[in-house]
Amino acid sequence: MTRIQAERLVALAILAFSLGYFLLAFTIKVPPGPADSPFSARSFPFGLGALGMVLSFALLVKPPPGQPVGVAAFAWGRAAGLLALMCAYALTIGFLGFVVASALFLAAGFGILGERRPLVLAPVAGGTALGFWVVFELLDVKLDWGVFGRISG
Amino acid sequence: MIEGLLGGLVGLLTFKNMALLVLGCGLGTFIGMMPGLGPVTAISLLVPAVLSLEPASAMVLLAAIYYGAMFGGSTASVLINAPGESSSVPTTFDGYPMARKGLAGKALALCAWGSFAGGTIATLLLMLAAPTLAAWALTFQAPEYFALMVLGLTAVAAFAEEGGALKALLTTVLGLMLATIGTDIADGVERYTFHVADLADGISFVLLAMAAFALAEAMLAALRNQPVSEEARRAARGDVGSLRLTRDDVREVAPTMARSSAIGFLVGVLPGAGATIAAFMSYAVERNLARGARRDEFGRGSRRGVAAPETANNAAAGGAYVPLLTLGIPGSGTTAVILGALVAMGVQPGPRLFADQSQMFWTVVASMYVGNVILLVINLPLIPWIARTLAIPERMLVPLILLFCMIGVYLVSFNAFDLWVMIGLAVLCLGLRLLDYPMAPMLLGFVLGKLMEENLRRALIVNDGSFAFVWERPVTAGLLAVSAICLLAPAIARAARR
Repeated sequence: MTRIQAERLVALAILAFSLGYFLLAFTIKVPPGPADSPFSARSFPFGLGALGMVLSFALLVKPPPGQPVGVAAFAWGRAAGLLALMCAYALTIGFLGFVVASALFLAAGFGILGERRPLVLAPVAGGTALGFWVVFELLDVKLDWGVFGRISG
Repeated sequence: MIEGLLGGLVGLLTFKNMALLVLGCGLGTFIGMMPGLGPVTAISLLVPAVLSLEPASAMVLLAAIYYGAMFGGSTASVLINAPGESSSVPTTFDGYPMARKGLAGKALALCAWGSFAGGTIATLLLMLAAPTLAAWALTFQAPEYFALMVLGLTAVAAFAEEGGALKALLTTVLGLMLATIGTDIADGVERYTFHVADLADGISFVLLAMAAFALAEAMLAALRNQPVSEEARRAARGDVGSLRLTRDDVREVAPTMARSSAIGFLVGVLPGAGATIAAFMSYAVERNLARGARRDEFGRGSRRGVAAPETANNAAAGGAYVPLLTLGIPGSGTTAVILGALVAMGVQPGPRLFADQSQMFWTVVASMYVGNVILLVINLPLIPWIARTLAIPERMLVPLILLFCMIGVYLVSFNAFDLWVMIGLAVLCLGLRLLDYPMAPMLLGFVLGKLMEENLRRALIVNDGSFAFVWERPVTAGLLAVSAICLLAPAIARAARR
C-alpha cells in the first residue's frame, strides 16, 4: 500500500466515523424544555460531526504528500504481542491481582521484545511489581491480590 | 508583586514541596532524556500520581517535570544524536558535532546554562505579564472565552508542518468529539454512551493522555525495533569530557541566551506555537546574525548553535504558562495535560485564579526560580552518571512504560473497563501517528471541549440564539479574526511561494 492509499484509507475511516457520529446525534434525547432552547445537547455534536465530515472529505480528495511509512520494516509481531499482552493484563488483573498480573506482564513483555536471560527477566519483573506494590502500600493505596489474597484468607 | 513572590517562597519552602520539586526535576530529566519521550509523555505518565496531592504541590511537581524534561531532552540530542522530543532537534545540529569532537561536556554545560537562563528569564517575564493579562481577561464573558478557545485550537493548525494543518484540525475535532462522550451537564442527558454505565462520566483525560502519548510512543518504539546505538554505549561509559565553560565561551553565548530567552518566551506565549518553533526560530536568528567564521561553524559544532535552541525551548516552556494560568487556555500538548490535571483536581485556571488562589500562582512562580537552580546544581555534575541510562535497552524500557500506563489508568478508577478503552484509543492513535497526524491538538480539543461547548451555549442563550455576538463584541470579533488568519496563513504562504 502506498502512502497516498494509506492516507485515503484513514481519511475514509474518519469520514465514516464522523458520519456515524453525526447521525447518532439524532438519537440524543433532549428534554422538552431545552428542546426549544437555541442550544441543546445535540447542537455541538451536530456541528462537530459536520466539521469532521468536511475535513476528512478534504483529506480524502487531496491527501497531503508524505514520506513512505515503511511498514515492511516494522516489527509487527512484537507490537501485536504487546497488544495481546495488554489485553491479557486487562482481563486478568481482577483474578490474578496486581502483583502477579504485573510481574507476569513484565516478564512476558521482556520476553516478547527479546530478553531471554531468566536471571535478568524474573528478578526485574518480580522486583518491579513488588516495588510498585510497596510504594502504593506506603501511599495507603490498597491493591488487590486477587485469587491469591482469597486463598491466603 | 514582590510581596506575592515572597508569599510564594514561604508556600514553597516546606519539606513536602521542596522534595516534590527535586523529585520533579530529577524525574523530568530522566524521562526527557529517553529518546522519543518528551515532557508531554513525562507529565502524562505521572498525572495519576499527582491527583491525590494539593493543587499547589501538584503544580510544583508538574512544572518541575516540564522544565526537567526540557533540560533532559538535550542530553540525548548531544550525546547520541537522538532528541528526546522535537524541541531538542535543533540542539543536535551543533551539539552532536561538538560531542564528536570530544566536547560533549562543554555542549552539555551550554545546554544546562542555556536552560537555566531561558527558564529564569521566562519566569521573570511570566511574573510581569501574567497579572496584567489576567486583570484584562477578568472583563471577558462567554463569547470572548469561546473565541479564545477557537483561537487556541486553530493556532495549533497554523503552526503544523507543511501539509499537516488539515490533519491537525481533524485531530482537534476528534478530541472535541471524544469530549462529548458522557453526560451533558446542562441538559443532564447521556451522549454516545451506548447505555454503558462506565461511559456515563465520559472518558478520563488521564486515559487519553496515556493512550495518545506514552502508550503510542512505547508501541512505536516496539514497532521500530532499534537496538542501542554505539553512541549510547559510549555515552553510558560516562566519558563526556570537561563540563567547564571558559570566559570566551561565556562572552560568546551570553548575548545569544538573552536573545533566545526573549524569542522563546514570546513564541511560548502564542497558543499553538510552543517550544519547537521557538527552538528552530532562535537557531535561525543566531545563524543569520553570525558573521564570517562564526557563521561557518553552524552545523559543525557552534557554541551559539547549541545555546540558542536550548535557551529558547526552556523559555517557551515558561511562556506557555501565561495563557494557561491567566486565560485557562493551554497553548501546547504539555500545558493541555497540566490543565487537564488541574481541572481533575477541581482547580480552574483562568483570570479568577489570581483573585481566588493567588498563593498557588506565586508558589508555582517561586518554584520555577528555585527549580531552575536545582536543575543546574544537581543535574550538571550528575550528567556523566545520568548519561548511563541512555544505554537501557528498549526491550526493558518499553514493557515498563506500558505497565506504568496500565497501572496509572487502573489506579484512577480501579476499573478494568478503562484499560480496554485505553488500549483501543492507543491503537487508534498509533495508526494516526504512523501517518503523521499530530496528537497534541486532539488532547487540546479534548481538554477544551466541554468548556468550549459551555461558553458557546451561554453566549447563544444570552443572545437569544443569535450569532450577532461574533461581530458585535470587539474582542470576540478580533480573536475570531486572528483565528481565521491562523487558518488561512499556511495556504496564503504556499500561494505566495508559488
